[in-house]
Amino acid sequence: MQSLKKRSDLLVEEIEDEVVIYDPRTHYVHHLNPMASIIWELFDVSPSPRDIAKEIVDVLKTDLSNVEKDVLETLDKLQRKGILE
Amino acid sequence: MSLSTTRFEVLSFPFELTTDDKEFFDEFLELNSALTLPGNGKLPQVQYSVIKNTKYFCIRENGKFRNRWAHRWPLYLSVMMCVRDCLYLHLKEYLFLHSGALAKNNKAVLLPGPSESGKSTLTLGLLNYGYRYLTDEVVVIDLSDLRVLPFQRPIYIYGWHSVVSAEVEKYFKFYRFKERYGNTMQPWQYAVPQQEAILPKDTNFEVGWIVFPTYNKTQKDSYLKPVSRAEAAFNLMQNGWNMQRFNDCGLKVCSELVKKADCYRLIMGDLKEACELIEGLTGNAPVSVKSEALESIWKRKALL
Repeated sequence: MQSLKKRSDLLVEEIEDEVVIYDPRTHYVHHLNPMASIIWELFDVSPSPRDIAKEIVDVLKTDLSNVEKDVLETLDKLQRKGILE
Repeated sequence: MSLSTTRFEVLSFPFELTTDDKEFFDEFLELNSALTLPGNGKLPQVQYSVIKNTKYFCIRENGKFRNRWAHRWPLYLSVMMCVRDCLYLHLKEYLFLHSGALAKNNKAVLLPGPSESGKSTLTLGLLNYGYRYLTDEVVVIDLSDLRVLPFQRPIYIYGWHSVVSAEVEKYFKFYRFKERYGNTMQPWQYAVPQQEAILPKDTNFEVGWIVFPTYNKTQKDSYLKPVSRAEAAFNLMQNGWNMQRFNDCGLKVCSELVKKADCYRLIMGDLKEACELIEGLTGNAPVSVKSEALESIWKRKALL
């Protein structure tokens, strides 16, 4: 997971608190819900799932292990969709 | 063999049609009367021919074979699908969306959705509430100002019964025909906008509302659910006819469109209720439209 990075050719629009991504390679469009959008944004600060989870926990004051699991799942989905590689 | 030829323009793009079938030629001119303008001296960029041999009507585009049909009834749709594809391919100044659209008080309501989502049925229903017909299938967005242009193709309707109130009926001419499905002939009709309903080709409207209809046959009522602007932009992208032509600007255009509009999902079980919900959305007090003729329309919910 540490070696993942955002693809540079993606077209990304932030609309209110959500993100829409257009993949010019496949012509697929992806819509990230508010939580996935936060994870997408925080991925720029650090690609580490634990660091991202910590940032979220700081704001939401919730359980780290649950959030870390959600972050891992989200990053896994983004990778399977081909928008992280 | 006697040939008939017509030159016409759609969105200022010049076409020509030549056929040896006079009946199809007359039908083509009638059905296209609201959508096209006569050729304006420009040389046609795409030429279609519909020529009948011993068994089939053969459709060619710039001399290349496109399709063949044993009957006359699919010819108009078939040629116009070629015309539509041609527009998507050649016109880079417009975004085309798979969507119905109507206008009222200078603002447009878009009804984007895949086939059988209820676009045409909802479009017909809303005509009874004083909306102007823009299109039932192809929304044209001018990229220079993000406004909607009319694309008044005939509305393709299942069944021969009355589909609009007597008040609205005078603005349309209805052409009834039968199509073969397997061993049965099914009744269909085209509603072609007449002079009073035809909008000048340079008319355009700001997008005020985007409503994504979803027809649910197991449901008795209808309801609206707000959708986030990001989800609306995502859905618009999914319903683009020529989105892949734009790459970077397609997403930007959809984002800008949704920022200006109120966006909803319409779960539609009851057509009348669905129309009243949209009527309420657009700032008008919901009006209950009742008449005997309309009862058949409201019952059309299973006939998309």
